[in-house]
Amino acid sequence: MRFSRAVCAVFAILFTLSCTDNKELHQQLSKNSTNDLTAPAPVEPRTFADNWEKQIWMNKVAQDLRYGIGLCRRDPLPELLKMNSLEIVDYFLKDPLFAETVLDFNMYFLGFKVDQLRVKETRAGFTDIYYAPQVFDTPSAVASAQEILKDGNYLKLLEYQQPLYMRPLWRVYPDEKGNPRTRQQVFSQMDSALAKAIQLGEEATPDKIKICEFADQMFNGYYEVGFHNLLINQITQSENNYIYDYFKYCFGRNFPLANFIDSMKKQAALMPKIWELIQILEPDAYPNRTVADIKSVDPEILIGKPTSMTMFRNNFWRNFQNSSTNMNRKRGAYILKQFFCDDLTPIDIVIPENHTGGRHGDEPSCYACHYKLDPMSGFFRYKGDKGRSFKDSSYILFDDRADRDSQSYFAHWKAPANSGREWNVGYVRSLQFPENNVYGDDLPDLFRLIQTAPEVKACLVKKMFRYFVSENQNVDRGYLQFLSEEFIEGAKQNSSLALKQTIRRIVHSNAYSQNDAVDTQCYDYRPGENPAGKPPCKVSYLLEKHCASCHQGDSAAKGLDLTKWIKIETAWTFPHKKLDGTQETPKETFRKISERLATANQNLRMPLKRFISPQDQEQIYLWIEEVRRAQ
Amino acid sequence: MISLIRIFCPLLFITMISYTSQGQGLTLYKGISTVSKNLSIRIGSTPDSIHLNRYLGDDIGQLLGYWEAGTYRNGLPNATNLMVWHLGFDSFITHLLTTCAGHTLEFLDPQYREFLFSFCKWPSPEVRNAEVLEKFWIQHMAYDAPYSEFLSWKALFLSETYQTTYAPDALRDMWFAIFINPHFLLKK
Repeated sequence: MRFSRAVCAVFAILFTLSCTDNKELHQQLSKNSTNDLTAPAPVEPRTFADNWEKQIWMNKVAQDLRYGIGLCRRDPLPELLKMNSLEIVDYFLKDPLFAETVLDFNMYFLGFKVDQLRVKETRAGFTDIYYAPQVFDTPSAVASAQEILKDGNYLKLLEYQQPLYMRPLWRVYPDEKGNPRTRQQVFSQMDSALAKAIQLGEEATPDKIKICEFADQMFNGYYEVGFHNLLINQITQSENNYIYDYFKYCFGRNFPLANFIDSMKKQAALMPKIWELIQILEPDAYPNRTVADIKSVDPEILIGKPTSMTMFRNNFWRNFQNSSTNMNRKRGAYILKQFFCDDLTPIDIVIPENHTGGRHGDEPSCYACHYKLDPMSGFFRYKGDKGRSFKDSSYILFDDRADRDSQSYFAHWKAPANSGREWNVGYVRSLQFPENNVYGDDLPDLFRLIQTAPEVKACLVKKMFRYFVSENQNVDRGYLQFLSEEFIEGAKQNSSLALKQTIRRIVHSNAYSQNDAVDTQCYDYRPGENPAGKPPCKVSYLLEKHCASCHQGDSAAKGLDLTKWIKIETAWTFPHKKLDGTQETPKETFRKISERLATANQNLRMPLKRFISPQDQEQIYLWIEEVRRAQ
Repeated sequence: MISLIRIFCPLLFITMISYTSQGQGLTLYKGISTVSKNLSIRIGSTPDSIHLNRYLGDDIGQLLGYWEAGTYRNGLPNATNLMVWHLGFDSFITHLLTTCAGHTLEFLDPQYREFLFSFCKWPSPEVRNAEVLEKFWIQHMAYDAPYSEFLSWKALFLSETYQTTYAPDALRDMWFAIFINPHFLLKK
């Protein structure tokens, strides 16, 4: 009976499901991938009750690893059904579409995930499918996904310097009345507008309005040609260029015309090179079918001097604008949230008694975040309006168009005289144990830290689990720690293979194959771990890691055993003996734990005189409070 | 005849709400892009030939879950957005049903068009049998749902209720019962 069902299903899927069958592309890209998919540690293959169950799992894996493309006609279903689950996963990991999944995941990790990676655009009757503009604005996601195709350095995702990727250009350029123009016509108009603006500027009595009218035509030409992505980056990456000087002269008050003329002449000299670049980005010459197709261009051609581009592009500077009073905190919070998985939940448990100093950030309820947020924000302190650097400038201009004297602004991050460092800029893990903190100066320093901090790779793995399983699924911290350790170890050899191994584990996890998972439940634990009789999985591993050395067994400090979980009448609690040997009430037990976690007195605060990461501390504290609220 | 599935709709909604209320009740819609993409892959002529937004309008489609700047918005099922799904599928199904009136829908896979056309003969035993129904189910649902879901669906359409139903009504109900199924609409 089951056999006939399976056979029927095989035929049904062979004859019915359809998907893009680009064998040539598949073969070409598979050839580039020198996958050595040997797992550094064994993953146990899954067993299935029947072929239907196996196909449910296979379809889900296919969808997840091929960016939404489930089992389809090009898949050799009978062969797949004969394979074990590990072989099946490897089959999908080798598919070039896996790079699309990686690109999508990377954008999710960086906080820029979009609804669709590729969008259809119709312009003057021509329809093309392009990667979404946000993709070109997230270069580290693209670079890292391209590396996956050749089993290269996946962790390019965490690098500061990134290529400048450009989308194919438009095919046609309608004028104001909708009549199509060629790209060359648009370009010639830009050229002559620029020449006219220079000519007007050099007249004996220059007319600013007219100069700006022509300069504006040149500026708009960038948009028309489809270079707006580059245009914005040109503003952020370079201080002396046409676009920036155009703004300063035409919208400012005191910018000298002579300087603007100089910029315009430099720009005119660049135009032939720009035209060369445009030919490369011609849509017919630049197919945009896969991640591998996405091209980078040399920014020097457009900016006119050797330029290295960073990972932060227009979407970042636009979404995380900085005002004269925000002190880059939005940007700092972004880094903590996306790279360190620290949501800055304001819990008042890190407040040293001697650190309050009267400012907003020093108020106890604020300081709970600001002690780590402000030093992180300091990495961005040189960045002003649209991300432009004001490091060597006497003033700094903000996105709200306010400006300030740069030295007094930067001084907000000056470290105390006896600290042994110049700036109070860095990743602060603890105020009590400063030896765990890492300090630096500017954004390259931040990314050196991001590349080495174990919290970042743990965050990457945590988000991987959420991406493939569910955003809301509870997961045992010990299991996540196990996945992270394996990833970190594997990434030392080859980060692409390490990523694939982590994914292999995740799709083999119990949580992944639940049909109707209960999101408060944990389904997976680190190897050898038996959760029976232990506290809830949300904190069990953390309590064991940070508290068990004192609070375990019969001789547990203060009679409190944090490694066991027992039921007293209707409530669950820890074994907690009072002096007379009787069990403490759950309410009292949790009240005391909460108090000892939150006290400012370092002689009482738990874990006693030991370092605990902010993320772990936060998780334990929030869970305790959750239990207390439910009591 | 009052379509049976319209009577079932409140029940399906209750099923979905109870499905999403497991644990902390945060199971979300897959979103209109993903559902459109799934349909395109399964029955469309190309992987992006079906856009349910077309039947609703872009802004309305956003009520059914979408990603923007790294955040998933509007994905939580509620009575209003289920009704929006219903409206979208209703128009989509009406469009599909024109096949039975002899229209050729270019956005559909040619093999699927042929398969669909054969269903216009319902309740002919040629299509109203377990084997063809399984093919219909897999065609649309693929393997998103457990086997038990298929069995219930199949039992309904092989039951007396649909023994004499006019083909467009039967097809409409078969599609609705798949499209409104939580396994089709919700993330897991």
